[in-house]
Amino acid sequence: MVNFETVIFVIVSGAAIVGALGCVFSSRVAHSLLWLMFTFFAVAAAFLMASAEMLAAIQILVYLGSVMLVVQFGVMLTRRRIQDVESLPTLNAISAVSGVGVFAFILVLLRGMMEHSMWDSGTSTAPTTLAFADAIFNDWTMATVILGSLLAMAMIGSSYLVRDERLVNLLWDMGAEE
Amino acid sequence: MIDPSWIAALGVILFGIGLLGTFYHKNAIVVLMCIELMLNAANLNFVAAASHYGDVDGWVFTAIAIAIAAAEVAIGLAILLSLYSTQGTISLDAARELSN
Repeated sequence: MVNFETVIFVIVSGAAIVGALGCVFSSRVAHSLLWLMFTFFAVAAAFLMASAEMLAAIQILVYLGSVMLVVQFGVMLTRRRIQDVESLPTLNAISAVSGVGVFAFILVLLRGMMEHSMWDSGTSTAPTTLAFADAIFNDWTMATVILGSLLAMAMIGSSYLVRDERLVNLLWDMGAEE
Repeated sequence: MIDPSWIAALGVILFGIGLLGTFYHKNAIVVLMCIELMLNAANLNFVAAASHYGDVDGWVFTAIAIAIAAAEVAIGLAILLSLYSTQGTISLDAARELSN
């Protein structure tokens, strides 16, 4: 008897892995981005299966809604044609060795992860969203405030980085006539 | 609820694929996307541990990691845009301004 939840999880994780592979091996950057969004949807579904509904909502709202939009703008602004085909690096000896190395790394890490003794003992009752809100706004208040100021600094810094220092813009800034 | 160790295993696989992508690609935006993939894999690990121990702190760390990822993407793309305006390309092989 196969558990229904197990079947759903296998489908979700298969979708996540296919999306990640598609992101890495697409020859067009726009396609990589679409595959990555697919993966993030699958990860949000995995969050749901771990009964982290709030995090799934944050994942979809923040990652798919805003971060991917920003990356899409980056794709649009850094190439002459959106559908340009990237010249993927040819498969030479070094990339083959590094691919095999990463694959072996995944296998070793998987084995260490699945057979770790921490999975033997546990409560296996997932926390609730109410406890999450309580933790963020009571136990981790300072971290949340620091995180807010970090985000503000990041936005100010990124708008400073992309400033346009051409003379005509500086003159316009100082109120000069056209 | 699904066994948390399976969610952690999915995180491991996604992390490895993201690592492969950062080695494999020359386009800086794709490397940035692969780093996002690795961050998401780490988040999966946090969520797995949180649901295993019944402790909410893993969720808090995940929320913090998502916010930091948003800041990182904004800064990274700003750097890439200024790189594109000075170099005309965002290939990681072409950006050698700071070497030598």
